[in-house]
Amino acid sequence: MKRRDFLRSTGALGATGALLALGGCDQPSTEPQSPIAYEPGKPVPWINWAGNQSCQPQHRPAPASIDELVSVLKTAKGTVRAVGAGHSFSAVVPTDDTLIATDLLSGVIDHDPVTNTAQVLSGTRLHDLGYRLADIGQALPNMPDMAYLALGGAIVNCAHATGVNFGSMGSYVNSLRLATVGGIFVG
Amino acid sequence: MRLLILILLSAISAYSHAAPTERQLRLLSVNCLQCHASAHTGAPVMGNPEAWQPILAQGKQQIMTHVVEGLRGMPPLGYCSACSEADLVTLSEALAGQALPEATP
Ligand SMILES: Cc1cc2nc3c(=O)[nH]c(=O)nc-3n(C[C@H](O)[C@H](O)[C@H](O)COP(=O)(O)OP(=O)(O)OC[C@H]3O[C@@H](n4cnc5c(N)ncnc54)[C@H](O)[C@@H]3O)c2cc1C
Ligand code: HEC
Repeated sequence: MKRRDFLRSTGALGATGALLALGGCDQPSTEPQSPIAYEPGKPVPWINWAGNQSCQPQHRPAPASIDELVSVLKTAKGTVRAVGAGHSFSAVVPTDDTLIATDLLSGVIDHDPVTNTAQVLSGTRLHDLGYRLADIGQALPNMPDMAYLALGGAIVNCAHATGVNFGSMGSYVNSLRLATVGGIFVG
Repeated sequence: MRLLILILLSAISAYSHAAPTERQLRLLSVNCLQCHASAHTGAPVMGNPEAWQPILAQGKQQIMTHVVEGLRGMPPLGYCSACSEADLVTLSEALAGQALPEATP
């Protein structure tokens, strides 16, 4: 069974149920899960977690600093998209032009112990963020039901957990610095 | 968990295959190790040769198909959107503790 068929058939369970069940079930490994086949020696396609979105970007920069990101955006071609962990089900990531991977844009770059705030690079994965915040005596008030997401993806989609008294990930942001296509750094 | 990751990373240099670059070690740490350093995720654990032997027996092409396209709890590309095919081979070899062999006919 393909991952996306599985999601479809377990729609009522929601994503969490699907993830837990996927980890435990024993499906044959021969059936393709992916909308694009792996071809040795060719550029690898991009595929989201669910396997229902994919693309073959011509340019796939992976900047490791804000300066690198800005310089990538100055010359970026065509439709430019960013990607965190690729957990989104909808077509918000795929582009066949420029896909900016944020894997290396990771870490806490500044913090203020008085206001209990931290400046965090948006590619930081939530599983990593907990440790990095703990180092500076901070923690997230709440987070989605799994730690695979990138902070940027979680903020953009306002990923949320449970609890009526908690906001979504976007609500924890008090200021944002944004690098736009063309290489302009706002904020 | 973080201590385990550090120990695993320092163990990489002992393996016979091409050593990952510093960039690849970061990609391993932010992506692969969140599952491949913990037994409860169902992922074959890095540094456990017994878990990797049956996987290696499938041969490089089948393993790489699973790494790129995903397999059950293994997400496509292991979440690494920054990874090229060469990166994914090197990271898989770092996890397996040896070079990915071609399939025996
Ligand atoms: C198994 C599973 C469980 C889930 N559980 C929850 C849950 O508990 N709560 C919940 O709310 N949602 C949940 N979701 C949905 C998921 O959290 C959201 O889709 C989330 O936004 C994905 O984060 P990501 O890092 O994977 O982002 P991606 O899917 O990679 O990207 C999401 C969007 O953000 C943009 N983006 C990413 N990074 C940046 C950046 N640095 N700068 C600018 N734009 C950026 C992308 O272009 C895209 O438009 C779940 C999904 C799955 C598959
Ligand atoms: C979300 C958890 C998760 C992440 C992240 C992850 N893996 Fe995996 N991986 C798994 C699981 C679970 C399996 C076992 C799949 C099975 O056989 O059911 C697996 C299996 C594998 C295999 C064996 C494939 C086979 O043919 O049996 C390789 C190689 C591998 N992963 C490499 C990687 C690499 C490289 C990364 C990082 C770029 C990575 N993984 C990231 C969970 C993960």
